[in-house]
Amino acid sequence: MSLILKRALLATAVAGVLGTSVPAAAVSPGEQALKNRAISYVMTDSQWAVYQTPGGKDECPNGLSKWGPRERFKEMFPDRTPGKYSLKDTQIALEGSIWNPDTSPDTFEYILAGGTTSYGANLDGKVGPNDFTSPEGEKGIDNQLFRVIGCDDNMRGPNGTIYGVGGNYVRNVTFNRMIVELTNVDSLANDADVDVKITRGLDKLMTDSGGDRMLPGGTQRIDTRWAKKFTQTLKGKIVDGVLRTTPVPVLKMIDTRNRTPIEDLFRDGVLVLKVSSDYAEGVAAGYVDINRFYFNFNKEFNTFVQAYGRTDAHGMYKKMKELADAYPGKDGKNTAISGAVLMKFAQAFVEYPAKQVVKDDGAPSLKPAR
Amino acid sequence: MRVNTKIAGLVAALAVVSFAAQAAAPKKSDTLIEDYVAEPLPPGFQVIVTERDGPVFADAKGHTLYNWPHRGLRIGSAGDYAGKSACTDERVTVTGGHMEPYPPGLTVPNAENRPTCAQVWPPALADADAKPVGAWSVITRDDGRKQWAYRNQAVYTSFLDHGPGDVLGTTAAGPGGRAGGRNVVGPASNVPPVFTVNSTIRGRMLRADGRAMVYTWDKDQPNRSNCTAKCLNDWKPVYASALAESRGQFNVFEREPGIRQWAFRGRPLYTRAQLLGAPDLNDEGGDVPGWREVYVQTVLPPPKEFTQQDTITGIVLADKHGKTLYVYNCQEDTSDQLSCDYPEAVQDYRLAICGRGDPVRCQQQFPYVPAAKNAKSESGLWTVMWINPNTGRRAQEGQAGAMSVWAFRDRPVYTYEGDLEPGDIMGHQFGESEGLNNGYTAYFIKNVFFGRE
Repeated sequence: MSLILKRALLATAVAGVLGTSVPAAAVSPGEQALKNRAISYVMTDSQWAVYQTPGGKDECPNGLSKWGPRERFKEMFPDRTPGKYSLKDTQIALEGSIWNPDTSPDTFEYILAGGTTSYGANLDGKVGPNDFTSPEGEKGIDNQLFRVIGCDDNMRGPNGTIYGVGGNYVRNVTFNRMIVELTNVDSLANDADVDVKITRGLDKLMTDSGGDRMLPGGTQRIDTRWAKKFTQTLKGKIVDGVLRTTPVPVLKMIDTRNRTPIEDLFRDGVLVLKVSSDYAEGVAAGYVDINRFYFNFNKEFNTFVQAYGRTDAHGMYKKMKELADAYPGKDGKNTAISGAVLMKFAQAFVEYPAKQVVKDDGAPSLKPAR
Repeated sequence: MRVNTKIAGLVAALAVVSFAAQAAAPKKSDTLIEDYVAEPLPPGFQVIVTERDGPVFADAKGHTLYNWPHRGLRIGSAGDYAGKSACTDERVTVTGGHMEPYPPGLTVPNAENRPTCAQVWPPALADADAKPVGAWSVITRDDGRKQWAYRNQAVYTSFLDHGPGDVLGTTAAGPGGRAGGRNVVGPASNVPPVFTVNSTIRGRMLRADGRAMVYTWDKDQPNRSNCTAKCLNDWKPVYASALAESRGQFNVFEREPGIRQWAFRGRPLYTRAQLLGAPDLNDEGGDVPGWREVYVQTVLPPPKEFTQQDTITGIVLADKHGKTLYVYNCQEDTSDQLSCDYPEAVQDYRLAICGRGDPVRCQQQFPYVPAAKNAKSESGLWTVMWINPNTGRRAQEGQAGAMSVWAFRDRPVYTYEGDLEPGDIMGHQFGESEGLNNGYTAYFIKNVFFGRE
């Protein structure tokens, strides 16, 4: 039985008990959309999944990142006498090693995250010794990327610079207007076969008057040109209000957290979203290509941004390679690392570009086109 | 510090080589030349209409003039205060620490031979008895010499420019050639007050109300708008006030009794109504069939062998195989903010980023774009240069190991090893400070989502 009908019956029953007339049941925008067996969501928040406990006591018992660019430089080149060191042997050598990383041993300690809990998905269908348990209790969560970034002060909310800047950009930059369009939907509670389309919108998010709370019911024009590369269709099912898509070889996600156009790739990628008529939230998960993640990260967040929270780019690459858990390259070493992105969505109505037809008088009329 | 004769020789050699490479001044568009507001000029000074930067002021020899307004940096500041020149004959040999987290005081590469600011940006000197003219004034440099200033900002030429119409020192329009806060100086465009003109990669683009892109519609007739009713949901006429008067190539017409609209060369002008919904989108209206952005001057086409490719954020220029083209950007972190993005500059910065100091790795990661030695481009912005790929220095034809490559604004362009399919832009913003201080950026023809053109 649909949610709308249930509410209507309940309203009628209550009215009968109270001897009052039946008020019109409030119908949310999402419920309206579901009348056509379709509902769409627009992304309102996105962060690389970092599970946090107060003070990091569980996941970062040894503290947070220690050797950011400033600390590393000071340790390596402590003398501040002008002219003591050459730029070539110091700053640009360090930058060169960031942009041309290797797996040689690093003398600087890198703090890895631990603990038993992480966001993500069970990508390999197994429960292994290095796996986590999700906050909801699901075992076998594969998220080795969390170990690498989990104790990076920049990546932790609410005050981490990358966390804050990135979140802000996700909301305010239209490039990130990821749309998840569900069709063939009979129920958001349980549905064995749902079609999922991922694309991008072109409009601002709808917020409350304060600008912080994302509201359902906005409209998004669909980007049918620039989003072609990551427009993709998936299959999924909804069980107890959670949509889970069938893994795809490559799940593409648009992503910018600081003015750099980024396309993330999740191999064996899945979406796992708790869905309702107004909102959705969950994860995109998969095996993240290490080189792509690493270079995208550094393109977005330069050394001076990394310095704010002591991000250690040198160590990050080495640890990602060390903990990589999938897709061996020609040298037999894994090139991808399990990871996840936490996402939030608000229901939105989507509008595909109209096909213009010119009338005899020269003025155009617009016919909706799909 | 007195100028080292070696540096003077280097500058002279550079002048000879670069002038030969330039061969001739850039060609101007035959059909669309920007109209500008004439104003009084110092003796011998002139206005030259350049291909991409529009009308610029030039000295008596036709050398483009630039300024360097004082501005704040991440740490500290640099540039000229009003009425003064900070670009001196002092050789700067250490970094200024303006880009944290790195400290100041690091000795720059090739410090002992590094040119001074005044060598790279020769001041536009004035005669001792020169008098102010219009917006032009005369300032006194620290060494006592007189220098011209425009609107109180000292003006300079660039040692990279060697012919009339060259604008190789810097440019307001990306990609390439951003030089430490320097600007090209030129007269005001002759546009009504509601409009501004900005240099872009495609030409001098018209904007309304400060930032909105301006469009025309193919379905309009001269001085007649057919955009009514539903069309107005998406397109907003650029209205003209009751007192607005036609000016230059802009005229006012009545779209309805009492309702006036601006037109450019008789073509009614609009902005995108739906820009209000997504203010960070750049030129999304240009994707709508029949609607065109407005330029008061357009650049000539790039080399015919190049292609255009759609990316996830706009259109890039690509080589004949569809591989995105990149420019290299570099600026030293010194008090004089000299650029290091041209072949005669120290190559240590570039080699560090593209190959950790290894030129072979550099050529693999960011290879040059080969050009037939006699290849030509209609646009003067594109040339063929000989380069030594192992040093990154300009070479002569016939020198061992030299290769002929495409250059944009006299700087080589590159592709990126990590781009696997047409439209890939994986090399975009590779390097320090999003690729702008020491790194690479893609050659965007149109960047819809980030607007950096």
